[in-house]
Amino acid sequence: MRLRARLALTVLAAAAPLLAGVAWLRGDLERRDADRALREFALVRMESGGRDRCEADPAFFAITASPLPRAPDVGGRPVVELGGGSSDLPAPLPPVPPEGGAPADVATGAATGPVTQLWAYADDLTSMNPRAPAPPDELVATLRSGGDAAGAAYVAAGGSGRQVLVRTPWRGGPCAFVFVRRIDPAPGEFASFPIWSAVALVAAMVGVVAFAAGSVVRRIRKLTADVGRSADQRYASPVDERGADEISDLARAFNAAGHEIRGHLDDMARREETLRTFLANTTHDVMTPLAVLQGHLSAMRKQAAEGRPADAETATAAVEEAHYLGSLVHNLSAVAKLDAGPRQVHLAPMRVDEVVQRVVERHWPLASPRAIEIECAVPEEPVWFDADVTLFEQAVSNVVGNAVRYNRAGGHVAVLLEEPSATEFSIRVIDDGPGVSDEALAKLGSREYRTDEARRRNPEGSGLGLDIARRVASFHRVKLSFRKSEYGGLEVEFRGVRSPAPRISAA
Amino acid sequence: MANVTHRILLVEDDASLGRQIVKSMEEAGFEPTWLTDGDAAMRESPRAFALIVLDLMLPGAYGLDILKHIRAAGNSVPVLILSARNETRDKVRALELGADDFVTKPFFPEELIARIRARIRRPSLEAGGLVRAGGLEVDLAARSVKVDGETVELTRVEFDLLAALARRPGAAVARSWLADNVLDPDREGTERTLDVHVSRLRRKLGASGKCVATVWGVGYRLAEASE
Repeated sequence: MRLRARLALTVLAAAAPLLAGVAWLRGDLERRDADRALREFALVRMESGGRDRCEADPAFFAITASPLPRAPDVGGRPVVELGGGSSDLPAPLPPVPPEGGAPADVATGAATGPVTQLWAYADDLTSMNPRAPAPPDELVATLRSGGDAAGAAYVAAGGSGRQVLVRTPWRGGPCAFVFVRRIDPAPGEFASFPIWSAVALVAAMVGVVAFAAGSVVRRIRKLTADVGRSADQRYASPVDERGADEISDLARAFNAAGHEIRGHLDDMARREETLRTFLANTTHDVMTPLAVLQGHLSAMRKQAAEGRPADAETATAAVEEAHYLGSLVHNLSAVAKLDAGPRQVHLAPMRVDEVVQRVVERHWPLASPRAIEIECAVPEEPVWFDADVTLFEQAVSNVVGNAVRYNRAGGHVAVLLEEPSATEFSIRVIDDGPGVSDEALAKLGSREYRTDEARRRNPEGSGLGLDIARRVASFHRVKLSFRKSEYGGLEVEFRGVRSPAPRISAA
Repeated sequence: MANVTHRILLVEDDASLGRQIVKSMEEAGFEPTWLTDGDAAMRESPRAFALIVLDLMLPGAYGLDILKHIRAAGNSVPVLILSARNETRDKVRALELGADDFVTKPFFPEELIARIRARIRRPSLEAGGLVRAGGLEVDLAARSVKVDGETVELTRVEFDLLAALARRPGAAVARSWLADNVLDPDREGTERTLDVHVSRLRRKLGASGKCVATVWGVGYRLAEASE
């Protein structure tokens, strides 16, 4: 439902009981006025000669008057007495209808205006006049319980109105009570309510509300249009949030939500782009070593088919190529993770000693065919560090992989996890390979390889792997340094600050 | 201990990889039981095995659910997770659920076997007590050393040095660690002094002195060690 319609309905819903209440109140006041007027009419008429006539000839006493006297000017209006009026002789009365019925003259239309009828009753509420109706029980009961007058509605086929039973001040004789009844042939005078005025009033209220709601509706429509436009622009432009009311608050809330959504959209777009690049690079980078591996396997199959044992050199090269492929995919995955931003990096307490052991064990198959010894030592107690274990392990693995891959046959690689100070850990990867020149060493320490450049395989082995090691170290605030080892090769050190052991050991 | 055949439960759904691993385990002297789906692994009693190698992506129950099931039953059998998804969250979750180690695919069989051996050996090492290497017998509790049954008198530093290696038989111990933790830092805390003590120790151990092996670039290890 539209806002205007809802507001109009609300006004109607609020006005209906209000108007009903006013109508009831007005009706009640009118009924009281009418009852009082009838009572006063009865007493005045009885005191101004009516009592005398009644007591003189109670069997024929009755008064019928028309038009009706009104409360404020009782007696001021002309009263026509049809019977028992100014004449002392009782005029022939129209037949009084039985209880609940209208007088014959009223019922037959002899009187077109309101008619007031009056009968007198003795103390026991019986009338000497056989035509007098019996007063309603509820009125009798009220007066018996001590009241001086009681009124009730009167409804009959010929008309309706009010009827009042009044106790006279003299309280005795054949006229101790007077029952007076006013009959309106055209009903509705008492119950009449200014329906059309009420309708006009409600319509005016609805109109005012609809008019007042106009500016609110216009602002809401504008906000709706702004929101639609902003959504079309992927929440790049904010909506107008001027103002200090609830609609402005809504606009501000939308801008805040839009900003959040924009962040997520950007993040998704970045990840999508990273994924696309990753897939493209992976496909490109993996195909070459895979082709080499296929070549080695094909050669070995040929040797087997000819009944010759596979030569160790080819088998070793195949193993190296497979190892390279595995680390390449892990490295590309690490690059994708680093490029995707910090949200993709998952820091958790990690045991550095276990990482070192895993990395070294992973390189045994690569080292052993070339008689390269690879060993590690870790402290007896666990060494904890908050890191992304996948990235950190890959960084260490790249450095160890280089130390093995570019070592000479029969060479050595040592990986030492030490605690050089009360707060630090240090992973030193030492080899006795050919090492690097001073110039190359300076470059290793300072040069920031671009990923695209570094992705290319190069004989120094300082491409993608070291680039990742650098980026991972930097992300984890770990210092990565390169120096010549005392054995002639290279010594690479990761040095960072240990974390406290988690309260519940994960391992 | 060397003659005991360890039963290993392998839960891996890939047939080729499973066959390869089973073959490697048999060659390494283990007795593997190979299951290819998670639900079957859930029904298996882990108590019958010295170690469980568990793949994560399985038909039926998920690998980590199997791990949770094993740990919920109060079983502390070492569990080694095999995972093709090199995801940190998986690893952290696995360790939180009580996994002992994880191996990321691809891996060479030698690497897996080495990790299995390290995990099976570990509990007995932690138990302490008596460690044998060749003719050498080190009683860590009684602080005594015998070579071919004959007691050898060692100085405090020499015994501490040998004990540090014996507590982790087969594993290399860094010279820096030994210098910091075995030598008296006020008097003789240098790695050169350490080498002197090692030389003396080897001489006192006679033929078994070769069990105290030098590890290039690292330090020393107790070689040919067994409990």
